[in-house]
Amino acid sequence: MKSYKESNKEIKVDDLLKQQTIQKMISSVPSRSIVWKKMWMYAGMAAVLLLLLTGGTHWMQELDRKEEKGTLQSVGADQLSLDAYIVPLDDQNAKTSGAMDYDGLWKTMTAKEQRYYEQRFPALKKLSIPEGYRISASEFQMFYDNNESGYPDIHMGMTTENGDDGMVDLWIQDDRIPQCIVLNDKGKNYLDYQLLIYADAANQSYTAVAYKDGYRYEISSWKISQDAFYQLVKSILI
Amino acid sequence: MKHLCTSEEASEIVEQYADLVYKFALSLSKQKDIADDVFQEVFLRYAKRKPSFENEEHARAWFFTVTRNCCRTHFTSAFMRHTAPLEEDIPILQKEDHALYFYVMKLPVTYRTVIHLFYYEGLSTLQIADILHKKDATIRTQLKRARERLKVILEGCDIDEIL
Repeated sequence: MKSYKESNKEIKVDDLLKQQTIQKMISSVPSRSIVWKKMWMYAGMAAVLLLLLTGGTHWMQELDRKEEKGTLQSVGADQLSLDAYIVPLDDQNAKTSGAMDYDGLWKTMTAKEQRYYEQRFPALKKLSIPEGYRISASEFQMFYDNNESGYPDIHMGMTTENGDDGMVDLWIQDDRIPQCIVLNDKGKNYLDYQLLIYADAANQSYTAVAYKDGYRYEISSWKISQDAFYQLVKSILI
Repeated sequence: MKHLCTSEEASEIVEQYADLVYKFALSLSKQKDIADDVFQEVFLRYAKRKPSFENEEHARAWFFTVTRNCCRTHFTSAFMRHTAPLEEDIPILQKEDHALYFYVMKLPVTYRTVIHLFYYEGLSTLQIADILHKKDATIRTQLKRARERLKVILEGCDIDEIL
């Protein structure tokens, strides 16, 4: 029986595929739509700036009031059905692509970088998971098995409205969960209070992206049941 | 009209990273057709973005990450969500000669990913953790579990030796 390495060595990339790819790379030109998109973006930004200047504080107050009417704040934890926040499939795909666009992945937070961010953001936002969050004994065991540190594999990222990095310090009772990550994909396409839940059934991994109070939250966890994940999201967002 | 890439640039980059991208895409997708699509998509992304790499390791990490993202995007597309998952389709290899490869393909994608990066690409668990956005300990645990699963399938063989 051949080893995995030997088998892989026998896999050859088809020359035709290579040639087609090279042709596509050569024949591609910068998309006009991108240029137009940029122009519209600048025009839009200029218009918004003008509105802000002319509208003054009255407009800002209106905006603030509008934000305060967010759906997540207006329902209690017990009444919140997360199914209502799963965006329609078409939109979900569009937004999933955005969420999966890891161009900024190089900002991946390793333990070393975590210290850097801790220094950069001395005032960390502390979030405690309320008592409503419970995981079963077997799930907790899975968390332990997956992480030698004994902490659940939960990631929290936070981005401000301006696209600045933020950081969340996540706690379950007295245990701090240290592996919070900073994401900065500046996904401006999400609407306020919109929640996207992305599930990978094969991995039992889930990601929820939500806006609340001007912050973009990204919560992801691995090896967890759907119910437990929903409960976790509820606990954090309410 | 200015093109994204010259012929020389495109050939050079495709030749250099073709194996890395294609084999990783095949390992993640288990489907030749999907691996073909992902292969093209990865290099088109390169042509459009022209990332500047600090060194070879950085370049390899970029190609691994983009390949993985393209696969994930593919599997989360509307079409795939409404399509039943297919059995692996790798006509390049004969099942009889490459049994172990096909056993690895039976593992969940998480385990296939770490097995491929560790045993074929020879990356350290720390490097894999950086690429996959996970902790080193998590990667080591996933490797251990992948080996355990294979051990069960192969009835007690020394996995490290045959991998």
